[in-house]
Amino acid sequence: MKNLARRVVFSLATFIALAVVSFVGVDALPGDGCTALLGRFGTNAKIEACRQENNLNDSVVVRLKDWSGDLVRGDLGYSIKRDEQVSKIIMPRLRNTAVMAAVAALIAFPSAIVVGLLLGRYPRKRISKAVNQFSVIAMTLPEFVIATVLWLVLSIWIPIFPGVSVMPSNASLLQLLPNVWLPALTLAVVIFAHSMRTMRASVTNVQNMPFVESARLRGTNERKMIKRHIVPAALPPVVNVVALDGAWLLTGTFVTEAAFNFQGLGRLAIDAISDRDTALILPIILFGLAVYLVSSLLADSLVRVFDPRLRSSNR
Amino acid sequence: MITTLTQSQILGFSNVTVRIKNEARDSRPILEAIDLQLERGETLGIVGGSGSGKSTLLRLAAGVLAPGLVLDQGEVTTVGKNLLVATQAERSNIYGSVVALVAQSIGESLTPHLTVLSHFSDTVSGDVVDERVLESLAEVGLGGEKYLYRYPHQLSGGERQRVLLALALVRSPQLLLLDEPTSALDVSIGSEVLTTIDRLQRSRGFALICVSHDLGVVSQISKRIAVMNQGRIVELGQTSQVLRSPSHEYTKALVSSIPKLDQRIRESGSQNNETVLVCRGLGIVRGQTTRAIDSLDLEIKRGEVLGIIGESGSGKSSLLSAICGLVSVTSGSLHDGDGYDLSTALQMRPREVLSSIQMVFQNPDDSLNPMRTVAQSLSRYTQATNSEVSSALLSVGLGEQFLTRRPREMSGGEKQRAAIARALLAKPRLLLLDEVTSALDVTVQAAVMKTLADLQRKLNIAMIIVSHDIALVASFVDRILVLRHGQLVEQGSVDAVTNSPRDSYTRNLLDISARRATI
Repeated sequence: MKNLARRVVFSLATFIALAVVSFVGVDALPGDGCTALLGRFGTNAKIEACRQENNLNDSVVVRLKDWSGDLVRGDLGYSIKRDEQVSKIIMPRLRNTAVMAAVAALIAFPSAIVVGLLLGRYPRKRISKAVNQFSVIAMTLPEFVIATVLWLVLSIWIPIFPGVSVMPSNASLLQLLPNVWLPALTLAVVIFAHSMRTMRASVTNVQNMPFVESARLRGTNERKMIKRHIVPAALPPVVNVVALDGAWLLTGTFVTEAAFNFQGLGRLAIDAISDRDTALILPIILFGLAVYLVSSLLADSLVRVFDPRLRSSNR
Repeated sequence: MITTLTQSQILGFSNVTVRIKNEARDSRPILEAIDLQLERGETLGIVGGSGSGKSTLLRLAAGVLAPGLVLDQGEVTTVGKNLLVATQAERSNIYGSVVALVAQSIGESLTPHLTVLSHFSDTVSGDVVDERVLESLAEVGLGGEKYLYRYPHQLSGGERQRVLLALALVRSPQLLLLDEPTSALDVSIGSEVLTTIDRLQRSRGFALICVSHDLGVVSQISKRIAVMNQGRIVELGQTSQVLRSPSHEYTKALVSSIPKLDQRIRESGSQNNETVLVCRGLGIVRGQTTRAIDSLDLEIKRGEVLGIIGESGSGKSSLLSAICGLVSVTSGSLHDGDGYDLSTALQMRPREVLSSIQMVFQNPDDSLNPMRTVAQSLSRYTQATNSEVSSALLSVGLGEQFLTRRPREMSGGEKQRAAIARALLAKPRLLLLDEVTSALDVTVQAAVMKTLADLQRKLNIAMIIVSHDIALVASFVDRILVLRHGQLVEQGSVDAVTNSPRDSYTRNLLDISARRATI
């Protein structure tokens, strides 16, 4: 417990440090909210007036203080370019991405663990080797290729899902769901390959350990072997991969969202960057940071559940 | 299927030959023409060096054949069944209830994420699980409920071996197979485990096969002994008969190679008053608080051989590591013969000091670079010329042909000899030997010790030899030091320590050693 508390404090400190670095870094880039709003037609006088109005002429330190103070109060800031509260822009898109990520995770992770277990049990079988090789292709193919293939198959040849999402960002869940499938499947292919391979390798490795043979020689039946001896020992490496992939689902979906014009956080990030809308970029960066810190914290805590050696203090 | 077993027999091997898969028929098989029968309730010990096929034989008795091996001919029958062709479900029914095998690697044979109780509930079910488990734990000497909820990493080596025994015996099998039951344990703990096994065998009457490289171990718990060499059973007979009057050459070598307390393999040489090492009030703390060595006084003269006896955790390895600079000294002083302060870290020591103290490690596989030839390994840091390397090799009994060999092309004994030659090339005044023969077969151990004795006499260097085997040390050194929990519990000449030990712990070690030698 003490260890966990220390990890939480450390993660918070990391978050704060990275947040400051991000703020200063984004600030150092040429352009700000006013140049973004007025674009290349803005005269110097107009831009200057805009900056005065929005306190952009204060020093970095002062603005960092204001910004972080707002952040602590739950105010994500204000986008001059879009003339809207940042939270109002981000929240619906975050919801869309979260739904897509959840669908992808539900499709990919359970099946990856089951398939990985089955293939890992028989690593020498031809099917096991073939699936393993095939999954390398799934992992290395760029997402836009997977997206295109899925789109061809599931939208053009067999028209089940809409090929391009034409929904507003704040669509209702019922409107959202049909549009979620193709991008979620694309992401699922990638993370399935990833976690399935890890599970397969881990099961194969655990199966050859002396304690598995020892349990078998005591007369433990195969069902108990898998449930009690093999799977719990094989899961820790998979937990780490799942945590990383889970974080990626929430933060790394730019290409897939762009491919299907899905109104999610990745799509928004691309827009914000091309608009130089710094007020919008920063919270998206911070969200990504938080997701990775939380997921690695979760993964470490979960691994402790499986391995008593990490839990106990003696030895 | 024809079974060759009579009513009273529990296990039969008839003309069994096992080969490596796809290997030529004229190559030496792993097991060759094994004929062996075991009566119900009988105890059999199988002894042999590494590569003799003894473990393969034992596992075959449980119907397990390592991948890559094939049964070339013959038949193995366990209680009327050919386990090799049994399905997984049939095996599950037999394992634990008829045949139980306790494998060698006790450190890894328990599932790390399960408690002791959970291990039992794999195969024991019903309403009174806890009671049955407690009962069988108590039987192997682990009394008390506290063990039920411990994880393997919270158990000591001896406790793990006892838990594995209890797990194997909880469903009262008729045949128990043990693979090196004590090789991972300290001498006194191993001896206690053997006593437990013996007691259980007598009270329960199961048949037992125990495999070990150590004749002393198998002779303690088995009425009959099979001696194996190169895949064959070269001698099979009553334990006392085999030990007293061995008939086969290999058995003779095996029996005579066992170190004996009263049989010296090295004569004491001339010592003079030149000291090579002095330590006063030495203290070594490892980790946060663990006292590895506590206020030790020690002095070694040129040409003197000092033996240090101790179990794991006694601080014997820490002491050697501190002398050669791998571990830092916490308190007290440590100097070499010229007064150089050896509490100086390894990186800061001048070259002469470094080369004057050499250490040979327990496992030559870890201390020789697998990518380099022997010549490269030996000349790299010693800056020895080719002829110096050759003559050093010759002095440890390795000919010219070893110059170009790599470690994987050498046996354990040859590798350890090369490691010794490397240490000698630095022309040390003090040679530290850390369990240098414990990874070797007894016959090989005897030969290596003989070589060391010759070298010591010729070069008149001081040695510190660390071992868990009191007989080995007593037969080789001038003076014995017994360490326990970092404390010096006994010190004196070999005769003084072996004839009139003052400490109860030393007495216990001597008793165990004597018992082994006389069976």
